[in-house]
Amino acid sequence: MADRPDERALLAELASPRFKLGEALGHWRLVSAQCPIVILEVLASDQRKFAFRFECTGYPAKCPDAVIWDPENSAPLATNARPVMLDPYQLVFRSDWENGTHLYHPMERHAFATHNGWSNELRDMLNGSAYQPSQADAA
Amino acid sequence: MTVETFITSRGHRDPFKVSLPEPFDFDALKHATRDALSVDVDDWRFFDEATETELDAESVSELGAAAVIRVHCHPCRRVAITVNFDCNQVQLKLRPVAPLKVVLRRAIKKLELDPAKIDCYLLTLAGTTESLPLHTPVGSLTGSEDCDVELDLVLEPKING
Repeated sequence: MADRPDERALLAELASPRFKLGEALGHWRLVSAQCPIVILEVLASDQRKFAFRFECTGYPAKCPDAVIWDPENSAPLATNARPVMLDPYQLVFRSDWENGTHLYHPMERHAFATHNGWSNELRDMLNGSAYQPSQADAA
Repeated sequence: MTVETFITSRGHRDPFKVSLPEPFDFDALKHATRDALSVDVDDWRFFDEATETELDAESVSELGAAAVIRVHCHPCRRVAITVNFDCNQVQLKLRPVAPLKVVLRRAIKKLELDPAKIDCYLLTLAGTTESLPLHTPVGSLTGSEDCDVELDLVLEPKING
Protein backbone atom coordinates (compact mmCIF):
# COMPACT_ATOMS: atom_id res chain seq x y z
CA MET A 1 0.00 0.00 0.00
CA ALA A 2 1.40 3.37 -1.03
CA ASP A 3 2.06 5.85 1.74
CA ARG A 4 1.98 9.06 -0.24
CA PRO A 5 -1.34 10.54 -1.40
CA ASP A 6 -0.03 11.10 -4.94
CA GLU A 7 1.12 7.47 -5.17
CA ARG A 8 -2.24 6.25 -3.92
CA ALA A 9 -4.07 8.43 -6.45
CA LEU A 10 -1.81 7.31 -9.28
CA LEU A 11 -2.12 3.61 -8.47
CA ALA A 12 -5.90 4.00 -8.14
CA GLU A 13 -6.02 5.60 -11.59
CA LEU A 14 -3.95 2.80 -13.10
CA ALA A 15 -6.31 0.26 -11.54
CA SER A 16 -9.50 2.08 -12.57
CA PRO A 17 -11.93 0.50 -15.04
CA ARG A 18 -11.47 3.34 -17.52
CA PHE A 19 -7.70 2.72 -17.62
CA LYS A 20 -8.20 -1.05 -17.76
CA LEU A 21 -10.71 -0.66 -20.60
CA GLY A 22 -8.13 1.20 -22.68
CA GLU A 23 -5.64 -1.58 -21.98
CA ALA A 24 -8.16 -4.30 -22.83
CA LEU A 25 -8.94 -2.59 -26.14
CA GLY A 26 -5.24 -2.29 -26.93
CA HIS A 27 -5.21 1.51 -26.94
CA TRP A 28 -2.39 1.65 -24.41
CA ARG A 29 -0.27 -0.62 -22.24
CA LEU A 30 1.31 -0.06 -18.88
CA VAL A 31 5.00 -0.80 -19.34
CA SER A 32 6.07 -0.03 -15.79
CA ALA A 33 4.90 1.83 -12.73
CA GLN A 34 7.54 2.64 -10.15
CA CYS A 35 5.90 5.59 -8.46
CA PRO A 36 6.20 8.38 -9.27
CA ILE A 37 7.52 7.19 -12.67
CA VAL A 38 5.05 5.58 -15.06
CA ILE A 39 5.87 4.44 -18.57
CA LEU A 40 2.99 3.82 -20.95
CA GLU A 41 2.98 2.54 -24.50
CA VAL A 42 0.30 4.08 -26.72
CA LEU A 43 -1.00 2.71 -30.02
CA ALA A 44 -1.08 5.32 -32.78
CA SER A 45 -3.70 5.38 -35.53
CA ASP A 46 -1.12 3.93 -37.95
CA GLN A 47 -0.62 1.02 -35.52
CA ARG A 48 2.84 2.15 -34.44
CA LYS A 49 3.49 2.14 -30.72
CA PHE A 50 5.06 5.01 -28.84
CA ALA A 51 6.16 5.04 -25.23
CA PHE A 52 5.78 7.96 -22.86
CA ARG A 53 7.51 8.51 -19.54
CA PHE A 54 5.52 10.38 -16.90
CA GLU A 55 6.93 11.69 -13.63
CA CYS A 56 3.82 12.06 -11.52
CA THR A 57 4.89 13.67 -8.25
CA GLY A 58 1.90 15.54 -6.86
CA TYR A 59 -0.66 13.68 -8.99
CA PRO A 60 -3.44 14.62 -9.63
CA ALA A 61 -3.06 18.17 -8.38
CA LYS A 62 0.04 18.75 -10.48
CA CYS A 63 0.60 18.03 -14.15
CA PRO A 64 3.03 15.19 -14.88
CA ASP A 65 6.46 15.85 -16.27
CA ALA A 66 6.17 13.96 -19.57
CA VAL A 67 8.31 13.01 -22.53
CA ILE A 68 8.05 10.68 -25.50
CA TRP A 69 10.39 7.87 -24.55
CA ASP A 70 12.74 5.24 -25.87
CA PRO A 71 12.48 2.39 -23.31
CA GLU A 72 15.39 0.48 -24.82
CA ASN A 73 17.81 3.34 -24.29
CA SER A 74 16.04 4.89 -21.30
CA ALA A 75 16.13 8.28 -23.00
CA PRO A 76 13.85 10.69 -24.83
CA LEU A 77 12.95 9.29 -28.24
CA ALA A 78 15.24 10.47 -31.05
CA THR A 79 13.85 13.26 -33.18
CA ASN A 80 13.75 11.19 -36.36
CA ALA A 81 11.72 8.48 -34.63
CA ARG A 82 9.03 10.81 -33.29
CA PRO A 83 5.48 10.85 -34.69
CA VAL A 84 4.86 13.07 -37.68
CA MET A 85 1.51 14.78 -37.31
CA LEU A 86 -0.45 17.65 -38.76
CA ASP A 87 -0.28 21.04 -37.10
CA PRO A 88 -1.03 21.97 -34.37
CA TYR A 89 -0.47 18.49 -32.90
CA GLN A 90 3.08 18.27 -34.25
CA LEU A 91 4.05 20.92 -31.72
CA VAL A 92 3.51 18.45 -28.87
CA PHE A 93 6.51 16.39 -30.01
CA ARG A 94 8.77 19.26 -31.01
CA SER A 95 12.45 18.67 -30.34
CA ASP A 96 13.56 22.28 -30.91
CA TRP A 97 12.36 23.30 -27.46
CA GLU A 98 14.18 22.14 -24.30
CA ASN A 99 16.01 19.60 -26.49
CA GLY A 100 12.81 17.59 -26.79
CA THR A 101 12.92 16.52 -23.16
CA HIS A 102 9.33 17.57 -22.44
CA LEU A 103 6.05 17.34 -24.33
CA TYR A 104 5.04 20.78 -25.53
CA HIS A 105 1.58 20.74 -24.01
CA PRO A 106 -0.20 22.68 -21.26
CA MET A 107 -0.79 19.48 -19.30
CA GLU A 108 2.97 18.92 -19.10
CA ARG A 109 4.43 20.32 -15.89
CA HIS A 110 7.52 22.05 -17.25
CA ALA A 111 5.80 23.37 -20.38
CA PHE A 112 2.96 24.79 -18.31
CA ALA A 113 5.33 26.32 -15.79
CA THR A 114 7.31 28.09 -18.49
CA HIS A 115 4.34 29.53 -20.40
CA ASN A 116 2.65 32.07 -18.20
CA GLY A 117 -0.05 32.79 -20.77
CA TRP A 118 -1.30 29.22 -21.05
CA SER A 119 -3.20 29.25 -17.79
CA ASN A 120 -5.54 31.86 -19.28
CA GLU A 121 -5.38 31.08 -22.98
CA LEU A 122 -6.00 27.36 -22.56
CA ARG A 123 -8.13 27.43 -19.43
CA ASP A 124 -10.90 25.42 -21.07
CA MET A 125 -8.51 22.66 -22.12
CA LEU A 126 -7.08 22.44 -18.61
CA ASN A 127 -10.53 22.39 -17.04
CA GLY A 128 -11.35 19.37 -19.14
CA SER A 129 -8.41 17.40 -17.88
CA ALA A 130 -7.77 15.29 -14.84
CA TYR A 131 -5.22 17.86 -13.81
CA GLN A 132 -6.08 21.21 -12.33
CA PRO A 133 -2.82 23.11 -12.24
CA SER A 134 -2.94 26.04 -9.91
CA GLN A 135 -1.81 29.50 -10.81
CA ALA A 136 1.16 28.86 -8.56
CA ASP A 137 2.38 26.18 -10.99
CA ALA A 138 2.77 28.80 -13.69
CA ALA A 139 4.55 31.28 -11.47
CA MET B 1 -13.30 -18.51 -17.75
CA THR B 2 -14.75 -15.06 -17.30
CA VAL B 3 -15.43 -12.24 -19.70
CA GLU B 4 -14.31 -8.76 -18.77
CA THR B 5 -17.33 -6.53 -19.17
CA PHE B 6 -17.26 -2.74 -18.97
CA ILE B 7 -20.62 -1.10 -18.33
CA THR B 8 -21.56 2.56 -18.77
CA SER B 9 -24.96 3.90 -17.91
CA ARG B 10 -27.11 6.96 -17.33
CA GLY B 11 -25.05 9.29 -15.18
CA HIS B 12 -21.97 7.03 -15.33
CA ARG B 13 -19.42 8.10 -17.95
CA ASP B 14 -16.68 6.07 -16.34
CA PRO B 15 -17.32 2.37 -16.83
CA PHE B 16 -17.90 -0.19 -14.15
CA LYS B 17 -15.94 -3.38 -14.63
CA VAL B 18 -17.53 -6.73 -13.90
CA SER B 19 -16.44 -10.26 -14.68
CA LEU B 20 -19.11 -12.50 -16.13
CA PRO B 21 -18.71 -16.28 -16.09
CA GLU B 22 -18.62 -17.73 -19.58
CA PRO B 23 -21.11 -18.57 -21.02
CA PHE B 24 -23.60 -16.02 -19.69
CA ASP B 25 -27.12 -14.98 -20.63
CA PHE B 26 -29.15 -11.77 -20.54
CA ASP B 27 -30.27 -12.38 -16.96
CA ALA B 28 -26.66 -12.72 -15.81
CA LEU B 29 -25.77 -9.46 -17.55
CA LYS B 30 -28.73 -7.68 -15.94
CA HIS B 31 -27.89 -9.14 -12.56
CA ALA B 32 -24.27 -7.99 -12.77
CA THR B 33 -25.39 -4.55 -13.93
CA ARG B 34 -27.90 -4.24 -11.10
CA ASP B 35 -25.20 -5.12 -8.60
CA ALA B 36 -22.74 -2.67 -10.12
CA LEU B 37 -25.14 0.26 -10.41
CA SER B 38 -27.33 -0.52 -7.39
CA VAL B 39 -30.47 0.20 -9.41
CA ASP B 40 -33.24 -2.00 -10.80
CA VAL B 41 -32.46 -2.38 -14.51
CA ASP B 42 -35.06 -5.02 -15.42
CA ASP B 43 -36.87 -2.66 -17.79
CA TRP B 44 -33.76 -0.92 -19.10
CA ARG B 45 -32.35 -1.31 -22.56
CA PHE B 46 -28.91 -2.78 -23.11
CA PHE B 47 -26.62 -1.92 -26.01
CA ASP B 48 -23.34 -3.25 -27.38
CA GLU B 49 -21.03 -0.21 -27.55
CA ALA B 50 -18.84 -1.86 -30.19
CA THR B 51 -21.68 -2.18 -32.71
CA GLU B 52 -24.05 0.45 -31.26
CA THR B 53 -26.87 -2.09 -31.47
CA GLU B 54 -29.48 -3.02 -28.90
CA LEU B 55 -28.98 -6.35 -27.23
CA ASP B 56 -31.52 -9.12 -26.80
CA ALA B 57 -31.29 -12.63 -25.41
CA GLU B 58 -29.87 -14.01 -28.64
CA SER B 59 -27.28 -11.31 -29.27
CA VAL B 60 -26.14 -11.36 -25.63
CA SER B 61 -25.23 -15.01 -25.98
CA GLU B 62 -23.06 -14.14 -28.97
CA LEU B 63 -21.19 -11.48 -27.01
CA GLY B 64 -19.38 -14.10 -24.98
CA ALA B 65 -17.05 -14.81 -27.89
CA ALA B 66 -15.36 -11.44 -27.44
CA ALA B 67 -12.48 -11.02 -25.03
CA VAL B 68 -13.78 -7.65 -23.88
CA ILE B 69 -17.36 -6.48 -23.84
CA ARG B 70 -18.54 -2.88 -23.60
CA VAL B 71 -22.17 -2.48 -22.67
CA HIS B 72 -24.25 0.65 -22.28
CA CYS B 73 -27.55 0.41 -20.42
CA HIS B 74 -30.22 3.08 -20.18
CA PRO B 75 -33.95 3.27 -19.42
CA CYS B 76 -34.70 5.36 -22.54
CA ARG B 77 -35.10 4.16 -26.11
CA ARG B 78 -33.93 7.51 -27.47
CA VAL B 79 -32.10 10.47 -26.00
CA ALA B 80 -33.12 14.00 -27.00
CA ILE B 81 -30.00 16.07 -27.57
CA THR B 82 -29.79 19.84 -27.86
CA VAL B 83 -26.55 21.23 -29.29
CA ASN B 84 -25.80 24.95 -28.94
CA PHE B 85 -23.36 26.71 -31.23
CA ASP B 86 -22.99 30.49 -31.09
CA CYS B 87 -26.59 31.70 -31.40
CA ASN B 88 -27.82 28.54 -33.11
CA GLN B 89 -29.38 25.46 -31.61
CA VAL B 90 -30.12 22.08 -33.18
CA GLN B 91 -32.08 19.10 -31.87
CA LEU B 92 -31.12 15.47 -32.38
CA LYS B 93 -32.61 12.17 -31.25
CA LEU B 94 -30.28 9.22 -30.99
CA ARG B 95 -30.04 5.93 -29.18
CA PRO B 96 -28.33 6.26 -25.79
CA VAL B 97 -25.40 4.16 -26.98
CA ALA B 98 -24.52 6.63 -29.76
CA PRO B 99 -21.01 7.96 -29.11
CA LEU B 100 -20.42 11.69 -29.07
CA LYS B 101 -18.52 11.45 -32.36
CA VAL B 102 -21.89 10.65 -33.97
CA VAL B 103 -23.51 13.58 -32.14
CA LEU B 104 -20.71 15.84 -33.34
CA ARG B 105 -21.02 14.67 -36.93
CA ARG B 106 -24.80 15.09 -37.00
CA ALA B 107 -24.66 18.48 -35.27
CA ILE B 108 -22.07 19.82 -37.72
CA LYS B 109 -24.22 18.67 -40.62
CA LYS B 110 -27.37 20.26 -39.19
CA LEU B 111 -25.55 23.47 -38.39
CA GLU B 112 -24.20 23.50 -41.96
CA LEU B 113 -20.61 23.79 -40.76
CA ASP B 114 -17.70 22.52 -42.83
CA PRO B 115 -17.44 18.74 -42.17
CA ALA B 116 -13.78 18.86 -43.20
CA LYS B 117 -13.10 20.87 -40.06
CA ILE B 118 -14.76 18.44 -37.68
CA ASP B 119 -11.47 17.96 -35.80
CA CYS B 120 -11.55 21.65 -34.83
CA TYR B 121 -14.63 21.19 -32.65
CA LEU B 122 -15.33 19.80 -29.19
CA LEU B 123 -18.49 19.02 -27.30
CA THR B 124 -19.00 20.10 -23.70
CA LEU B 125 -21.93 19.81 -21.34
CA ALA B 126 -23.90 23.04 -21.74
CA GLY B 127 -22.52 25.81 -19.60
CA THR B 128 -19.32 23.95 -18.72
CA THR B 129 -15.83 23.95 -20.21
CA GLU B 130 -14.96 20.29 -19.79
CA SER B 131 -14.39 18.75 -23.21
CA LEU B 132 -16.00 15.35 -23.52
CA PRO B 133 -14.23 12.32 -25.05
CA LEU B 134 -15.84 11.46 -28.37
CA HIS B 135 -16.22 7.78 -27.52
CA THR B 136 -18.58 8.68 -24.63
CA PRO B 137 -22.07 7.18 -25.10
CA VAL B 138 -24.50 10.12 -25.09
CA GLY B 139 -26.80 8.24 -22.71
CA SER B 140 -24.20 8.45 -19.98
CA LEU B 141 -24.63 12.24 -19.97
CA THR B 142 -28.33 12.33 -19.15
CA GLY B 143 -29.47 13.09 -15.63
CA SER B 144 -30.78 10.48 -13.25
CA GLU B 145 -34.42 11.16 -14.21
CA ASP B 146 -33.97 12.41 -17.76
CA CYS B 147 -33.82 11.23 -21.34
CA ASP B 148 -32.34 14.46 -22.63
CA VAL B 149 -29.04 16.30 -22.57
CA GLU B 150 -27.87 19.75 -23.66
CA LEU B 151 -24.39 20.20 -25.13
CA ASP B 152 -22.31 23.10 -26.37
CA LEU B 153 -20.29 22.85 -29.58
CA VAL B 154 -17.05 24.82 -29.21
CA LEU B 155 -13.85 25.34 -31.12
CA GLU B 156 -10.91 23.36 -29.78
CA PRO B 157 -8.34 25.57 -28.06
CA LYS B 158 -5.05 25.79 -29.93
CA ILE B 159 -1.54 25.45 -28.57
CA ASN B 160 0.67 28.13 -30.03
CA GLY B 161 4.40 27.77 -30.37
